[in-house]
Amino acid sequence: MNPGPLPSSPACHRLSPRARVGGVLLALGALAFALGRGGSRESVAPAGIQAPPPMLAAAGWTDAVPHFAHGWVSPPAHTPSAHGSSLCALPSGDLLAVWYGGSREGGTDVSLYTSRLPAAGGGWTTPRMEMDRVMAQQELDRVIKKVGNAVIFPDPRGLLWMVYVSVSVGGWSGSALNVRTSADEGQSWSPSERLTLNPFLNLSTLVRNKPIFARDGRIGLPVYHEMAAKFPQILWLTPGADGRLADYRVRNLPGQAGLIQPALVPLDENRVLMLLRDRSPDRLMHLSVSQDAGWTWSAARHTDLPNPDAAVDGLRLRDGRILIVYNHASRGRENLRLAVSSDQGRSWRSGAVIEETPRAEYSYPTLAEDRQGRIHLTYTWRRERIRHVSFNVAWLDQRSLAQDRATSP
Amino acid sequence: MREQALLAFYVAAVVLLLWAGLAAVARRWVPGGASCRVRLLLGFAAAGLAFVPLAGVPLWVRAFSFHSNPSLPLLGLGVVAWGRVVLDRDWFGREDWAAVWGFGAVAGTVLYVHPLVATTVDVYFWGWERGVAACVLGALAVLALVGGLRAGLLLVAALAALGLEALESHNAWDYVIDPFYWLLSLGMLGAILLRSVRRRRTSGAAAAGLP
Repeated sequence: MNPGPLPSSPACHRLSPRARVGGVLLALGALAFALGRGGSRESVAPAGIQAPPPMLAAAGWTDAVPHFAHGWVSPPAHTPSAHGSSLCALPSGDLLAVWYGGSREGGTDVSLYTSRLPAAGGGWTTPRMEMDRVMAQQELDRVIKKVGNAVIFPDPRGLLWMVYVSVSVGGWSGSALNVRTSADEGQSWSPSERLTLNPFLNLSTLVRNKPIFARDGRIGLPVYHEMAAKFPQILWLTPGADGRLADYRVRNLPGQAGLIQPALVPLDENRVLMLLRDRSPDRLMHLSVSQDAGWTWSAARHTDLPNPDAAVDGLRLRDGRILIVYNHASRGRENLRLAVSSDQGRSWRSGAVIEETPRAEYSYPTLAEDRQGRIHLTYTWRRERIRHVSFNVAWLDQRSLAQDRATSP
Repeated sequence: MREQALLAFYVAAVVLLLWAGLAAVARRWVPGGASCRVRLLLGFAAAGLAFVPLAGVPLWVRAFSFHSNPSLPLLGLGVVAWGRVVLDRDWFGREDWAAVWGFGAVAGTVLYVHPLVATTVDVYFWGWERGVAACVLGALAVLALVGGLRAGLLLVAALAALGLEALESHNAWDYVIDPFYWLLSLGMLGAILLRSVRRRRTSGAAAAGLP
């Protein structure tokens, strides 16, 4: 590859006129081949978002009696450290949670675990190890230093997806994403597939929150980039005829620099709200809105809610209000609170306090709604366990009312 | 099946680059150059080295873990280097090298630096617009070939690989540029620039009759 000493360009290095014609024909043939194999893959905004199943089943739902319960997803002392849970309601009605646990965050012994809460009753099942460094190494044919954040969700066809972070080089900003799917609600999984989402050695794409589903079948998964510049992105996954991943592409979101871990909340069939973790010194939760099903986004603006550089999650309630769970502080993750917006994110009414202990950490909350309309929340409890809280809208309203009474003069 | 083909392609690329590296070392250190038989043996040694486990992981897997999408120009340059040190054939002339380093420097700078400067433009996303990207690459390849540059064949190879989806990436830009090719291009252009500045200074001093 050393160019020198460079010869004085003898004529023999130049293509002859005949070779030039042959080369051009070859180039045109290669171009036709490349176009024929995928030239029609055009990127256009989705025609709309599929309403999540709970929205469709909203009619006639009444659960006027306040309900609140709490418990644990991970058993005591299951792993010394547990973090980063993701939760989803399965088509069967069961709830499935995934999180990572090990000796410490980023340790080589960290594994991804799942646990199931059967709709038929009973508690969370014993955690099942789904992925660790060695398994990922075998499935991806490369060195894997550690695994991290995972998101789990069923698509409208019922196929369950798991997207998880793995690191081959460096820290979390060296992360890359991998996808697995399950046709039997997580009993068995397809081998992991690596996604190439960044031109620079495919470094630094991470995932935290659940996706939106376009009407044309595409899945819009919120992801983010952390190395050098920090910004949110939307990863569009296109399932093939067999449901598995056929194509994908990621779109950077301009105007949201310094903001990561986007959480998406569909407002209606076209509009989507994005909540963002703030890494800037402002420490305020930000939001952005899409009018075209998540394809383009407004510049982010800050809300009045604080954000201590911590993950948030949101959910559209059946009555159209938006529920969020977040750390109500500019520093530290010592509390975990709910807030509700009745005007699509323009203003927020602070609701129940889920946790509050000085110097403790409650973080990485995730929300899901079950078929009965009950809301489920899982989060990291002091980095030791994954906690589960469930409640209904009646309880939420009762607590908001009590809060209003307490704060009114 | 595609995964197996991808891994075989990658192993072949690693072996070729190792072979070229070993042959270059032999060329430099063996007086009179290595014989044909030695060069062939170095090829076998390269194939063996690629599978030598380092801390339990073969060398080619380590390379794949770090750099899963080597661009076709980088691999092509590997082939050209291999031709030079193993077959004693110079397939590229001065203009070819200039085109290769110029393209690598410009394309890499645009692709890797723009997210830090112009955040509203997402160049990498266009690489998934297969039609647009392929037409751009096709046009560049035709221009280079019409100009008689053999380096244009590297873009033809990139187009063919894109059609075959020969890399792990589905993005067209990953077929024509990668960080190593970019850095190498910047380094080579810098070296050429430095050399020409020195030459100009020397000739200027000579013309002025200075010692």
